[in-house]
Amino acid sequence: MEWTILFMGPVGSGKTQAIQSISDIEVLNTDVAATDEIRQVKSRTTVSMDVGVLNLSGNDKLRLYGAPGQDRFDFMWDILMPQAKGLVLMLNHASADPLAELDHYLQVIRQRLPGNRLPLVIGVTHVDQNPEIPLSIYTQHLQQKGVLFCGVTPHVIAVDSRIRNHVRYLLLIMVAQMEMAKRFPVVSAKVAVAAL
Amino acid sequence: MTKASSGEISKQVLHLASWPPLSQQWHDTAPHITRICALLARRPSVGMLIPVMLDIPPHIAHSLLEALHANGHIYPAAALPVRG
Repeated sequence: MEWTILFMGPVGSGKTQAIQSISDIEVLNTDVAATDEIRQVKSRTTVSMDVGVLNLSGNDKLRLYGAPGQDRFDFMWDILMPQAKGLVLMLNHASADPLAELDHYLQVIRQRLPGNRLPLVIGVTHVDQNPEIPLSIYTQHLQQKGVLFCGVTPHVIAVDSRIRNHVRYLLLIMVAQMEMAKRFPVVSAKVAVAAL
Repeated sequence: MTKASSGEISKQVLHLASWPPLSQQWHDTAPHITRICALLARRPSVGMLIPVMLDIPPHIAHSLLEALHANGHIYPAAALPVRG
């Protein structure tokens, strides 16, 4: 079996690095030299997609896609999101307003995949660069807004994209969420009543 | 949270309080830990049924539940009614 996991998130949140850290194949990427304001953040940026593969036990594998972070390449989101079985949203804790970026991507997901039927795991990078802001702000924000994916509040973890074990743990959580969402689907009250 | 002795964990409905952080303590058992937490995040479950639901050897599941409980990541909410 193969499952596609899509990494999304703003520029500089560590999507390409995360896939490079965990992939069992050489990552196919479409990074080019940044020529616009992105150059202030980093020298190269993804314009199409990253592709990596993580081999699991047996013949199972995770296909890892990385979406471009810039909104002007949002046509790639339309192509990549319908193929995904799980979403990883990467956020840069050191950015000016990470909660606004979280809201933006929640809206992007809601517009393209209504119903929040895919598991979502949120990986927060650069946590050490903004230590005065606790990681709990994301979960509190999600809970205040009542954001649920597959019936649960998305799990938020600190990740260093450069460290394979961090990315592995994030993907273990994703795979576990995918399994549980499939085996124990949340039945809405309306459906439950209709079944009686 | 309700305090429970080690033997009582398996008889009680367990809830997820928080996911454990990635650390050396959980490293080797991370695949089981993440599955247990993902289950409890969506469905509080009786301790003794968790190894059956997740197809984890009972002795491994039990020791992981003990460790998760000892570190405050799961908590028992209600004891199973005694029948007989």
